[in-house]
Amino acid sequence: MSTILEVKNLAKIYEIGYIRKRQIVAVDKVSFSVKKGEIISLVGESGSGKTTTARMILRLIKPTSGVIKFMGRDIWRDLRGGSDLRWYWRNVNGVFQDPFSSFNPTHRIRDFMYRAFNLFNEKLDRDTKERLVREALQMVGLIPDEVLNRRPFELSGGMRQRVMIARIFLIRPMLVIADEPTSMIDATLRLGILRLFSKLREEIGTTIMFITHDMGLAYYISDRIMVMYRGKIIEEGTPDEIVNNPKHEYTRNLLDSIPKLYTSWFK
Amino acid sequence: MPKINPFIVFILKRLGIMVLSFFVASTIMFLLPRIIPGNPLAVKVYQILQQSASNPEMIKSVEKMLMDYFKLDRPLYEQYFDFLINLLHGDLGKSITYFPRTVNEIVAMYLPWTLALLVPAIIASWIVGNYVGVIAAMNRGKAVDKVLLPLLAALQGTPAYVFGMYLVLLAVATKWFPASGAYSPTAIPSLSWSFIVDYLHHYILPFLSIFLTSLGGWGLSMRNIAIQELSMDYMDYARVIGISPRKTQSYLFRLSALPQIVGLAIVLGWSVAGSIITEIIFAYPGIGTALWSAIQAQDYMLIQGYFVILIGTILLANFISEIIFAVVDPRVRYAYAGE
Amino acid sequence: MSILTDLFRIPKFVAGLAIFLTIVALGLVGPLIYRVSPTDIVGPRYTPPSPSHPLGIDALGRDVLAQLLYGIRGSLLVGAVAAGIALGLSLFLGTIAAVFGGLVDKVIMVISEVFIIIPSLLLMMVLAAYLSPGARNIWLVGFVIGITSWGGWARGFRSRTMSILQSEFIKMAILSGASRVSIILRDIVPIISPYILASFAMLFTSAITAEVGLTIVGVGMTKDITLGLILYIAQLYANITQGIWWTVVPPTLVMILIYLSLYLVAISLDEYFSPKLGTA
Ligand SMILES: Nc1ncnc2c1ncn2[C@@H]1O[C@H](COP(=O)(O)OP(=O)(O)OP(=O)(O)O)[C@@H](O)[C@H]1O
Ligand SMILES: [Mg+2]
Repeated sequence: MSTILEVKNLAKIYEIGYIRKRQIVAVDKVSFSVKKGEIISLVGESGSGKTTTARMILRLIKPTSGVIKFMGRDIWRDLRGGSDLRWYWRNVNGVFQDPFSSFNPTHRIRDFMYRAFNLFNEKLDRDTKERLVREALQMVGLIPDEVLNRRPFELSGGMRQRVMIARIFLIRPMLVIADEPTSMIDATLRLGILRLFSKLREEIGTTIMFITHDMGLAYYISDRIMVMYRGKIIEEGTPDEIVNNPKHEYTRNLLDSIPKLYTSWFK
Repeated sequence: MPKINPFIVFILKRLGIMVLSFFVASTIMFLLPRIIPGNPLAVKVYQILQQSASNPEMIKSVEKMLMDYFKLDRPLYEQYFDFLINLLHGDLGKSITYFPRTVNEIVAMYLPWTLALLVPAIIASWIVGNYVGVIAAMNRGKAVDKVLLPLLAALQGTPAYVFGMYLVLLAVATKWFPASGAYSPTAIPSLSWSFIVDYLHHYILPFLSIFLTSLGGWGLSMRNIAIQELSMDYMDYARVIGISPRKTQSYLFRLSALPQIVGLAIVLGWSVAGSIITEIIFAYPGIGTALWSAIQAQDYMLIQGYFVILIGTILLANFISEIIFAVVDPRVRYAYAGE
Repeated sequence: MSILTDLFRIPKFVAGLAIFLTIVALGLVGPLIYRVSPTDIVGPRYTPPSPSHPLGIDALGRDVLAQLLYGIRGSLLVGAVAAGIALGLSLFLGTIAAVFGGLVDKVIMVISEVFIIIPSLLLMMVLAAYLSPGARNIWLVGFVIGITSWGGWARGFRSRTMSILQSEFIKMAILSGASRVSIILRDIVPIISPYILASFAMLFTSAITAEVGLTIVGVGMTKDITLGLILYIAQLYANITQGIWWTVVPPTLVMILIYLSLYLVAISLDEYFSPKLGTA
């Protein structure tokens, strides 16, 4: 399997305070790589720097130092101009945690989906676009006619999260960064959303980087797990390696806190 | 890189903005008449020469003064340079209508009257407005507030001069108060008892119109600030440990007065410009009325002088209020001290 | 359209809009119905209101009602021109500053600060000292008021835009390849549209007030009839101190009504939308 994403010594330091500056090291010299086709999880407690890492990979915030390479190109140095960026986001895109605030309240679902066509190089006519959008919505189990003309606040959290994943089915990127996509929706709907990620990999061959604070969840879906603690990646391995032979104290604590029930309700 | 005290950086930044604003304003003032097609400044100077003075000797001296001051025969950049130098030296030239008196002398003659009217009226409205605002905030949503809020909004929305007009109409109809001037036409300004009584009698209406209209703004902003303070935890705490409402009220007044002090500095700076019309309505012999006559007489030198004075006070008030804010606000002060 | 029906259930909004539209109708249709020329001399000066001249006759022998109707029209036009210019500038510069950030932001903020500090009165004073009186028409006065009153609003638009830019949906838009212009036009503007409307209302009334102020001081309108010009003439001929109320009360009353009605509209828009959209 070939490496598609390579992260080296990635760091992000926030300066806060207007007059008296204080520094927060959100991400502390992190290095890892992602192989084509795998599902890799980034697990860590709240505030450990997961979202910051994801946002830097998605090219939404600028790293303080370090290198992110996608397909051999340094995304902060080699991408210049609009068309390079569109190429990048066509290939690397994301699903966010909060299904409420990820939608502009004044837009219809159709507007939300159509916007992704910005990333397409090919010129599509209106009918093709409509067909592609509808297909993508059907992929995630939504009925296009029921959602396309609705506004986000007319849909439930679970439906909105499905729409976000439908957007990924539309874009068909090589790599998806999913930042806690199930943590803010009802527990009974989580499994359905998780299945959609498996479907994404099976049907399109998407590589998935899955971010969660939930070790049980990571164990269930991943090929590989990285444990993040206070901005550093402290452990990395297959789910079984991590669970059976945790090297780090912190990982052991994480494992202890997994409810015993977990395995049963997943199956 | 050496670390500079952020408080000094802050002051320098504000100072920079002030200088820049003054520079922009005076450049506009310099450039506009000279770039409008046909160079109206030259035309104007010529007109003034023909109209303003009657005896030929005076025409000569006015002409000489204008030529010396404007140097219209020189290149533009030289004129500009000279213009800035004059401003920085406080040399605003001589009035045309009051020739040969300088603009500075004339301003000095009218300014005390304006200040005597404005400062007491604005400070009184500041004090009363703050009390009214706290009372409205403490009774938020109750009957008192429901009456006060629209009243304050109406006061704030009505320009002072409209108030002034109605007060003058009222004065004319009832004959309770004199409708114009700062004193009776027969009185001679002095510190005698009878003059002071006469002055105060004339003073009441313009005072009221400025006092009432600025009351609205103070009341409303105080109400907003106090409502915010009331929602803070320590106010709940005060209530729980049973501090009397009277005490809470005075405490609240002191807490919320802080940002209002900044507002006071700004308003005082703007007031000279803002009360021009009120003065005109009452024919009150201050800067505003003087400006009005200068505009009617097209005394360009005086107009330019007032322009510089007004913009100067506004800029200075802005600057001072920023500094007060930084010095007085404990949060900002702590942040500086902690460096 | 449910937003409109909702708004029409707020008494403040309905009252404000009704008063304002009545005044607009007076200015637009009034002169067509009451067909008296505002510049003709129709009788002896200072004739008090009577059935043939419902608001009496002014210092120059002209019909005050005709003056008032044309004055409303003129003042509304000044308000529209000035508010249009100020809103355009403040919305454009405020959103651009927030979205582009960096040097663009710094420059725009300094310029806006300078324009907040320089009042339109001073600019008008310079213009008035030079321009021939005939040149000071609605467009010029509206323009000067417009370009001197955008500063504070630009800061308002900037800070609202900044808080919206923090939203997740903006990041989603960026991930969908949306350009900065598209983010301003399709994400920011629709969300702050109630605030835009409210600020237009406030700019409109303050422009009308500013015109009156400038004209009374003697540096404003000279060419077209506005509320300010009516009051200027009244002041020039000392109508107020003579107790001639009919040239003073009607135009000031209209001014106050315009302010109150638009204030009501603006605060009901703000109260209606602010909690709804959370971000606003
Ligand atoms: N814009 C910011 N400014 C300052 N500090 C920030 C900012 N964003 C994040 N941080 C800080 O950086 C650290 C890492 O935050 P991050 O959001 O990446 O953590 P996380 O692992 O995603 O946590 P969570 O599980 O709560 O989402 C935290 O301490 C956070 O407070
Ligand atoms: Mg996070």
